[in-house]
Amino acid sequence: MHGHTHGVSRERPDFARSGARCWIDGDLIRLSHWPIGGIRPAGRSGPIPWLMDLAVLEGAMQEVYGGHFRLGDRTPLLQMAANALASGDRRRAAALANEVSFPPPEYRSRFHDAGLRYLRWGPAHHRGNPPIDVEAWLDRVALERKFDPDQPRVSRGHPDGGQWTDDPNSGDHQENPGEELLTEEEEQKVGRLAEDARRLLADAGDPDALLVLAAGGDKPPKLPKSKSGALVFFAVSLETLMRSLAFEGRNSPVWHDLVDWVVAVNRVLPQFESFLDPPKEWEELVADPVYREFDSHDAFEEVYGSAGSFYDWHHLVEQKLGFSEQEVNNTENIVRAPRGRHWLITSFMTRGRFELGGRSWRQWLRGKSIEEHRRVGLEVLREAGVLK
Amino acid sequence: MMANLKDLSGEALRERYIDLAILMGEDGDNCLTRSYNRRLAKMTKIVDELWSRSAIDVLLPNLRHENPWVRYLSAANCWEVAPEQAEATLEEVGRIRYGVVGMDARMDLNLIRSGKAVLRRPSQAS
Repeated sequence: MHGHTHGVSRERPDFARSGARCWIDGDLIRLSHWPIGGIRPAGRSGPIPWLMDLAVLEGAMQEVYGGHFRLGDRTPLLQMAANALASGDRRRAAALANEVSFPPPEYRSRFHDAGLRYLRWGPAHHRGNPPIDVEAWLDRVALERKFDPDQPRVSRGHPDGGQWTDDPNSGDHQENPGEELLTEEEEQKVGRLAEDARRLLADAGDPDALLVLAAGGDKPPKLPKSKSGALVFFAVSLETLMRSLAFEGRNSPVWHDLVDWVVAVNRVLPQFESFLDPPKEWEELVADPVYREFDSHDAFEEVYGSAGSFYDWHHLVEQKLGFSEQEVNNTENIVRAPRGRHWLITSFMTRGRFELGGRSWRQWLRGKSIEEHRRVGLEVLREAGVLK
Repeated sequence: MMANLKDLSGEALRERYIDLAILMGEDGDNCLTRSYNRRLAKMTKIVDELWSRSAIDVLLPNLRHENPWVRYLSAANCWEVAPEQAEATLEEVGRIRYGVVGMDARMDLNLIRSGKAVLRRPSQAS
């Protein structure tokens, strides 16, 4: 275990109740001993204990990896959350706690891997339970997703779905299928699934998490209105629920219901399947590692077909912005993107923003060099969680 | 709307700004771009009104608002009068990994820091 080696450290008394001794040392979180056996989700007690437990879990993950888990620039958020709680602003404290709890991308894959390892043997080791077969659980989710004959499929909709319009003033276009509002029937199904998510979160001891995430404040939570909104809503719910599972393993009250819930979400929103995919390497996103150019997008699709199940072909440099067909329809400019994330990107590019004088990114890019288009396209792809 | 804005106090304008920002957040999270952009135009009028009174700093408390969309949008409008606070707010919102507001903040911050965008009051924006 890690010793207390250097720097000014300060005890975090909140950890004491969980049996752990942890402290922040610079940008490191250190543990005095293995604490996992005594940890329980603490959402019922308020956001800060939950946050601290999360930090302990992260500490456990770094133990799994044998290194230090760096809090880095999240440390100020811990302090802000503590200040908010001290001033009685529980909602803000909870919101900040949620922000801390979602690791930055550089930690994400490591967090995921370590989480799986911990799930497999951490709780079992300390509670005498049989090990959790994580792979079997994930397989079951995948199996039930893919082979349910009754699973309805949402049509792709517009044949040019996801592509942007030619209107130079189009900050408010109608070409993004993600903007499509849920039908009344879908709304009812999504509402039921959201209620299930709230129940599961409450069972997991974290009744406030989803409320804060969904509402962003102390107003009643708003149910998602669109398919893309619902995807984000359920993805956040799932990530929060997985945290409960990471703490509790099979002792988690949500253990048995979670798979059914994921499968149900996927039936209503089949795009959920690809939305949860982790970011991929460039080579996995392109249709062909060899450069080829085409006279149209249709010609490209004639050769490479569809982008895959609930994936779309996405143009880094947009179509119809003054570049030639060959400049945009080539294997270095067209990549696969999960459909839901493609929707988010399209919306992102077409929202006006003060930083651009009220223009959208798309409008701002008009007239700029193809290199600048490509640079922004790649940055957005990374930020949207499509490209590693 | 403009006529009404002139009759409102600074605090009332701030409240209206917050209400709009929360709704814009819902639009943003739901990819409802047209609605978002319509509300942005309304918000721009509020910001212009505050600038005309040299009272944009009435929005500064918004940088600590519980709703991340309120903080994000206010940071852009407060940049000219409180750049350090505004930048810190964008950094803080940029750490949010769920939804889309964090992505907006990170992308905007990169753009500002690269010198490709300069935050000014809406009426002076190019």
